[in-house]
Amino acid sequence: MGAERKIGKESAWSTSFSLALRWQAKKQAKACTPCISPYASAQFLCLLFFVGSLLAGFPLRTSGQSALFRDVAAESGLKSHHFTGATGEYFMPEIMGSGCAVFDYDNDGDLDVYLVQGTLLDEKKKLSDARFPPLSDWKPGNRLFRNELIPSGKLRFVDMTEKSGLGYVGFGMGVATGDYDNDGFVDLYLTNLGSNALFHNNGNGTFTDITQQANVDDPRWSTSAAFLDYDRDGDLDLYVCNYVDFTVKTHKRCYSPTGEQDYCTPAAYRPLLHRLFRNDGKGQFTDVSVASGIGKIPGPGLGVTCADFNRDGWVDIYIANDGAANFLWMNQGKGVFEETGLLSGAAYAMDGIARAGMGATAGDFDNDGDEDILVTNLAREGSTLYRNDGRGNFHDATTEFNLAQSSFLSTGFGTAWFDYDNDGRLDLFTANGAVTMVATQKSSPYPFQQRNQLFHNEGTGFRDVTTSAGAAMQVSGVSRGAAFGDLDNDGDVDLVVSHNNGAARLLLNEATGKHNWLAVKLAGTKDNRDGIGAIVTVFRKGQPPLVRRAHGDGSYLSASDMRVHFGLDTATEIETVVVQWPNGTKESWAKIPVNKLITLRQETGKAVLSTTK
Amino acid sequence: MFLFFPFAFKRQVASFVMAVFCLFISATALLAQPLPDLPAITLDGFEPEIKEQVQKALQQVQAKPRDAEANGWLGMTLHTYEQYEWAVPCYQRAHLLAPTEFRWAYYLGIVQATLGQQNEAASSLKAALQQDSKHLPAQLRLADALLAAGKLSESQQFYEIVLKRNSNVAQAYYGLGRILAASKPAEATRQYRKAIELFPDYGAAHYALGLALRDQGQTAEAQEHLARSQQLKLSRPTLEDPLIISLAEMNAGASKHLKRGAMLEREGKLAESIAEHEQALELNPWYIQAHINLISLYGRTDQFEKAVEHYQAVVAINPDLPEIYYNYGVLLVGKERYQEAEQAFKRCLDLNPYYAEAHHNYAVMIEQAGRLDEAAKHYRKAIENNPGYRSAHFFLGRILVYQEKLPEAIQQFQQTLTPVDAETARYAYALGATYARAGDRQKSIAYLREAQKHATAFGQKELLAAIERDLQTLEGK
Repeated sequence: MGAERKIGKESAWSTSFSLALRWQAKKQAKACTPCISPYASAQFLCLLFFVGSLLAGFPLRTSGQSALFRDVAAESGLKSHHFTGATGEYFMPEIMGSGCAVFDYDNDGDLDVYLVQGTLLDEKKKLSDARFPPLSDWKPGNRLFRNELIPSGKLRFVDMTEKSGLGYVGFGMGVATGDYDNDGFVDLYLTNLGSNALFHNNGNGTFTDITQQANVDDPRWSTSAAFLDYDRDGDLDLYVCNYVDFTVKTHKRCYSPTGEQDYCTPAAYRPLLHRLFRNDGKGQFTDVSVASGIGKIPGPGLGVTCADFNRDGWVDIYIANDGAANFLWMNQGKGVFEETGLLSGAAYAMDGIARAGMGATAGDFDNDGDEDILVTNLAREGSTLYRNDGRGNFHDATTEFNLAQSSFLSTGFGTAWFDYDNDGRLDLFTANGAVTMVATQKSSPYPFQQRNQLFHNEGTGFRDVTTSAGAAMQVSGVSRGAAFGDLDNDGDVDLVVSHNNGAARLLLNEATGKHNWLAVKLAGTKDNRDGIGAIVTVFRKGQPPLVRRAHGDGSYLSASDMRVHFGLDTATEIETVVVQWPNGTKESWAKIPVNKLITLRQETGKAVLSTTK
Repeated sequence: MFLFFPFAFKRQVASFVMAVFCLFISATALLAQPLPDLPAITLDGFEPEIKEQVQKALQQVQAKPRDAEANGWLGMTLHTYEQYEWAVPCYQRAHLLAPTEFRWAYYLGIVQATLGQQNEAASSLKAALQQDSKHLPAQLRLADALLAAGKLSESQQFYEIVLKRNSNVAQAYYGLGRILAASKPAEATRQYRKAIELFPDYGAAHYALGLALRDQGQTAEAQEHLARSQQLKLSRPTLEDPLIISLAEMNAGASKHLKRGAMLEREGKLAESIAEHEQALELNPWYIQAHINLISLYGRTDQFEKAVEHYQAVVAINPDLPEIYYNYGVLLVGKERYQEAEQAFKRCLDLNPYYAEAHHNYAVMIEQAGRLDEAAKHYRKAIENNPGYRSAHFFLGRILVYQEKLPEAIQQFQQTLTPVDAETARYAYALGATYARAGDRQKSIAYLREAQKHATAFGQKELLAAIERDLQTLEGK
């Protein structure tokens, strides 16, 4: 056949010239810093800004005003400190984890919390070698905290790790939640550096590791994962992002521009292929990565969010890749996906250059009925907002919606669209923390600290309201995961933020309750039990409809509450709620009360003629 | 006497006195003006050369805190090593001390833009342009900063000023395109095309044009430009800017040399690339990536012993990096030392079992030794880890042909037909030949014709002759 026996071009020299370093910036100084600058013009501008802020009703909060968010982790018993396992070698995974989940594992009506933990990476090292040794009461492994809100009426967490069997010990990265066997109890999938684990919820407060039977392991460095029903067969399948081929043995030394050893970027390693597991409905999964097309292109994946971006009735998958083009896997039906990131405009930022994608979230921030995407990136890149034109074509609208400058100096990880003030528009939170040393913090023991950010959706753009969101939002840290849900069942969305080498925070939403809300719990009977992937539309009288999706995915390494939350603004009446189930059928319910959590059971509503394929 | 001077003269004197007074006041104000504090620079861990350089610049400022040049130099030194937050106050001090000096306001603007402080950057760049209103790079940077700050009409004005002065600045057309993208898409498309016309390798302009054409329904052309943007990525035009060059020249760090070495390698300048890598190692002998790259660079320039030296050096630093053994394996293949190469690839795979290229090369080695089943296993592993690995599909297909597993071989060959390049004719030929062997004459002819088409397109005369011979046989001519 005329082919020479030789090593082809594709297999010739491996020459990685990437410098494998990420440069980090310190957080931008407070907005009014120029006031003390010697520039007269700056003083004038600052004065104008101040006056303008007052005129515009800028909510400048004084100490006497109540905070939007309050950290109640310690007082509610949510005590867990993340251990990075760092022993001075700058192993890349040390700086990347870990995630968290909010989910109701015991079906008692309140959200419980799961926190993923790290461990020592180098088997030859001892705990005493750790640069940041764990606290004296530290126990290895992930932690499960049960919320005692129901029946006690008080937000209080009890550590149920040992009793539940969820104290998995590994180098933990992320967690995904989903009732894969539709038995009514939410199960957990854990991603690790090394083997992953699927824990079946036994329904009695305990979990069983069924990874091997279920065939869902991946021994590589996995990060975010998501449950989705991509084939619309009524059970949840599983997408697992893999990152790069780092191992302790193959660890490389990387340097900052000034020659100091620092954490490497993903460019120092080779990106990995991701996995898609199809649920066969009988407790087992089949690896369909290759057959589906997902396993054809490697990418340093960190974030995943699943939504029907082109509104064809089939759920698509969006992946935030770190330092490479993001993926948009468009579901073609018949179990096949096509990667359309480039043509869709969601692979790169406006300049056609890949960013260091970390977390991703999809939601209809502009209330035009389609799913837009926000990807958190590295400092000096800023987050990227991809606005959907309704057909699955995206435009980088970051500058247009005032997110470019405000997010520019933050390395973002966990993120979500969520309506914190229930005004009917999705706001935005980003959990921030550097991945390479911040030069100006070098004298501090852990120089990666950044402040998280809260952005209020003003309709025409986002306003960074972090400084007015309360003391809990002013604290710097190395935030990673963020999970969202109404933990105190008071009608607004709270959040749990996990920290690298730090304590988890529970940011309780204390925004004044002047707006109305609705929370929808879906109960699938033909579809997956929690209706993951269903699109819920609320029709309010005299106001535009609100379109939201049932999901627990998105963010970074984390899993959020699957109940669908709606901020209703001043609406006191809901005309109808329409649910488009993952299988394409639609039902509506009328006369829905506001300020309630309601359960909508499949096949109990009025059928709506569906136009979905 | 004074009283007797004519009025006009008195007015001149008065003006002179006033001017002197103003100068005095200004000078006093300047001297009294508070300067931003110097940054608290932590030098721990800096590479020794860099540390010395920064320390020296810092000492100069400490000795003469109100010397604009010393402050500016410290700013430049920090700027060079990407310590932007620290560079800002230094440049601010320099600018305050020498407000008529273009450089400090310019550098300050650049650093502020890098830190995302676009409004501040615009102010600084405007201040710089007050000193040199014709500085094209400053005008362009100002337009860019205003665009990034969302001040579209002001940004447009400055891009237009740039183009009035020099109508060949591709970046200005690109900037105008971005400004017009939402409001006047057709006009934006025209601007992007102009940018590409001036600089055909402009990655960002191809990307923007691709998306603009997509929105206008011209999908085929959109895809062409998007594909081109993928090839070009970071390629963009640059304006000659001596002030930026002087910053780059200050960099004494190892990483600078590695970066330049990488650039030279991409340009095919291997000898120059080697020199840069060696300089990086002079500054940091433990720079593993430089050693690894040099194994390859020396290998490609037939300097086997030098390559081995770097292989040994990097093994001594960290023996567990798969790339070392991979590159060393390729080096040994070049010397036809196949058994040792096989061992090198095996070692690479022991360290990283997902290394597709190592599986492939290991398979090539053991296939040569006649261990076909084992080779097939490794080709499959290569494909598993990189499903688009054409030559792995091809070699696996070839083994399957030897093993008379023709349907499976055909499946493998079918994976090799895209993209269309110089290899495609060979792969299509293999597929056609396999169909012939499987008795499917029609398909065989079809693929041989495809192979013929590609071989013709790529001017592959010998291959073309072989294909045509087989075609004649099959067609019974």
